[in-house]
Amino acid sequence: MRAAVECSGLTKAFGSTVAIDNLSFKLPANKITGLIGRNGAGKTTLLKLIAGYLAPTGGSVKVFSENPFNNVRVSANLIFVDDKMTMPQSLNLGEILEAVGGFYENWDHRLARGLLEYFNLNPRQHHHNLSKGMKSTFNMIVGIAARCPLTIFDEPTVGMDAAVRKDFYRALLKDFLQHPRTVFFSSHLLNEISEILDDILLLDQGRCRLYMTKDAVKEFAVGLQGKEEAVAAIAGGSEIFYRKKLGPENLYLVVPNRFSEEELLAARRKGVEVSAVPAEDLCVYLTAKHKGGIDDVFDRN
Amino acid sequence: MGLYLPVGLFILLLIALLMAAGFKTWTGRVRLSFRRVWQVTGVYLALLLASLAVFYALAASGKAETLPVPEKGPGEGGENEYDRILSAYYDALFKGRLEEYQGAELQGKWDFNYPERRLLVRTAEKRPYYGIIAVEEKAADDGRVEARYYNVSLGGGDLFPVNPPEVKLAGEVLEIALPRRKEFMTFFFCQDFTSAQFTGKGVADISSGLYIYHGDHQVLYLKVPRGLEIDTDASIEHSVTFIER
Amino acid sequence: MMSLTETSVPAVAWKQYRFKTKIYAGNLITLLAAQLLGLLLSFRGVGFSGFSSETVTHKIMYISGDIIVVITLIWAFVVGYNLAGSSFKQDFVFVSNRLSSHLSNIAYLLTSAVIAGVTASLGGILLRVLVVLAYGGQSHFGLFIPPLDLAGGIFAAILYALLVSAGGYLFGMLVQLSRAFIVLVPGLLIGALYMEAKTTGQARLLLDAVNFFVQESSYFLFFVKVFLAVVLGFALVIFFSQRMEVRK
Repeated sequence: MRAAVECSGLTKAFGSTVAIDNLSFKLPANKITGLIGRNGAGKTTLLKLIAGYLAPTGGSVKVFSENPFNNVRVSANLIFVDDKMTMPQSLNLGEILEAVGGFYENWDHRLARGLLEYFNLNPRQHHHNLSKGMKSTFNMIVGIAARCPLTIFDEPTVGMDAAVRKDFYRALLKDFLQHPRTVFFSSHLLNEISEILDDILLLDQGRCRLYMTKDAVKEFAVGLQGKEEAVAAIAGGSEIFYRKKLGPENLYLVVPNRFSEEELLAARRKGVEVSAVPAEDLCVYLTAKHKGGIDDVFDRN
Repeated sequence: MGLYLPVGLFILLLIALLMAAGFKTWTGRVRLSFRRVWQVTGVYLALLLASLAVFYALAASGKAETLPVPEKGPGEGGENEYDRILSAYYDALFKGRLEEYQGAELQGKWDFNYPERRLLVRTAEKRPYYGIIAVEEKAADDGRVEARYYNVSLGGGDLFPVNPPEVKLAGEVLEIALPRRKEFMTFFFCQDFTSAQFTGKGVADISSGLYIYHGDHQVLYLKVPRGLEIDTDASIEHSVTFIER
Repeated sequence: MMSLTETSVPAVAWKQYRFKTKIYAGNLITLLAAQLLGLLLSFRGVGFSGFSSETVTHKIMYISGDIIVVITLIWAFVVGYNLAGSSFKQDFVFVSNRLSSHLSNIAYLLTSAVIAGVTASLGGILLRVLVVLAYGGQSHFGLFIPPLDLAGGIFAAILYALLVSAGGYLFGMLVQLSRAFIVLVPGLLIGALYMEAKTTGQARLLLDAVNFFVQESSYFLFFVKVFLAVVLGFALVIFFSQRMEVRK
């Protein structure tokens, strides 16, 4: 299947700060991909490069096989939703939906009005009078109803309360199932969105740290917990994603899951507890500067 | 003049920038829906078009030009029809032919029997009189003082008719009661600079080339019996002209 | 797979233009307010002279719509400037590229110029009617405007509004490129004028630039001059912004 987005060697620098560093990946069409990373990892920059707002410093980005920068064909097939979307101040919400709908061929006005009503947004209100969460909700409605072949959400849930977020994920998923499209979704709330994601792209300091299906991420690493020597023996020389001392003798290690069933059984017999690592924890571990997390800073003293 | 334009433009630019800052917040606060705005604009346009209709209706009804102000003629001096009329008028005056001259309009007439030998002429309030007082000695001593008040006729009727003075004889004094001052207001409509640059009928063109011709050319013409001695006082001594036929 | 939407720059620009006539409708209200203010200021005349003698006092009022036109042109400048400031950000939220954004802005400014030019010129007519009605009995001169003169005035007013709004747009875009231009442009202008005035005793540069348009007495040449200036201005803007990134 043709990729919706294709980056190769993509680099973007602001002065001496490199935000995106030689990034290459292909985003398959018609999947919901989560873009995960810490603050400053380059998520927004990457999304803006894809949307054609920014021009790359090096490498290339292709959206539907075309350079998105200054490209009206890409623009017509893409919507970028975040909490800073500039909405016309002079129109009320109902008028905005009407006016914006004119831009998108697949715009579903009934859906938009329905969502507006469901989320208790008064169509006669003005966008700049909305609270932060309501603004995000409205922008999300625009993003879903536009039904763009490439829909980008950049931290779309800023300010929304938990119930609204849940409804939003559900609305997105339902509409996605009826009208499949490519969704690229950045968030730091991986545990909340992992339900709707197909794939996860983990970004760390402008580089791709991990890119695989959500299920593969769950299998990607294991946690080993037990007596220090026993745990260390099983881990052997393998890469350590995370290490944490538990009391004077016990140790918790997160390592790549390259063990066979027998090895894991053997480990359990030695009193080492083998556990799955939740995806959101793994992402935190993978992008941490210190293998021991924040505890490292305190343990050194 | 050299700095007038740039300074003016600079001030306009400042106003514009201030407006730009103010505008945004202001338009943001206007809560009219765009449909309502279009309606309001439509009403405004309709009002303007209606005024256009009224305007040309006024023009058609002859109200357009109430004042045939002469345009500046060709040549440095601005010699034109009105200058010609005026010089003919004064020419007739100084030749003593005002009575029969067509371009002079008689606006007041007073006759007195006066057999005395001396006559003092002055204004009633002793305020100075600036018009011309022409005195002509008649061929014979008929014992009558004839006062006539003339004004130039500018052809198009009396545009700005001034009030005539009152003349009366009191003993040995001929008193001129000064006319009540008349007040006029005239509107000069100048084309916007946007059309004036093609037609030359803008404010600058009109105001520099303008000369209003008034009815302020009145003459008090006295015909006195032969041998009558005329005395004057300070109020009119500069106004009196003796006409020799 | 959702099929991709095929589109073209003119098609997108047209959608954006229609969008702008809605979201910037508030400009029309400010135009109305500005022209009514101009009307009010013009009502007592743009000039006054008079004389008085023993027998007459004569006041002369010069009435013209110049103030209405000038205020309208200030409005046009502001509209151009504000459009440059807000449209770029707004356009790229939805479907746009740089060229379509500029094309729709140009179309919007053209529409604004037509509305501004027509209403400003007709505002002068309204002024004349009001003055005649208010001072009915008084004498007046030059009230009548031959329809062709009026049409020429509207034509020129539209072109002036377009010229000025294009200037505002160019200035606004420069400010978008760098905030420094907001001080730099007026600063350079004043500086150049000052230097010129100091060395030659008068500031001809700006005067000549203004006279280039204001003293043109041929309709055709005036159109050509404005057209070329406007095209140059828009071309500069389009050229400068080709690599401009969208900041939010």
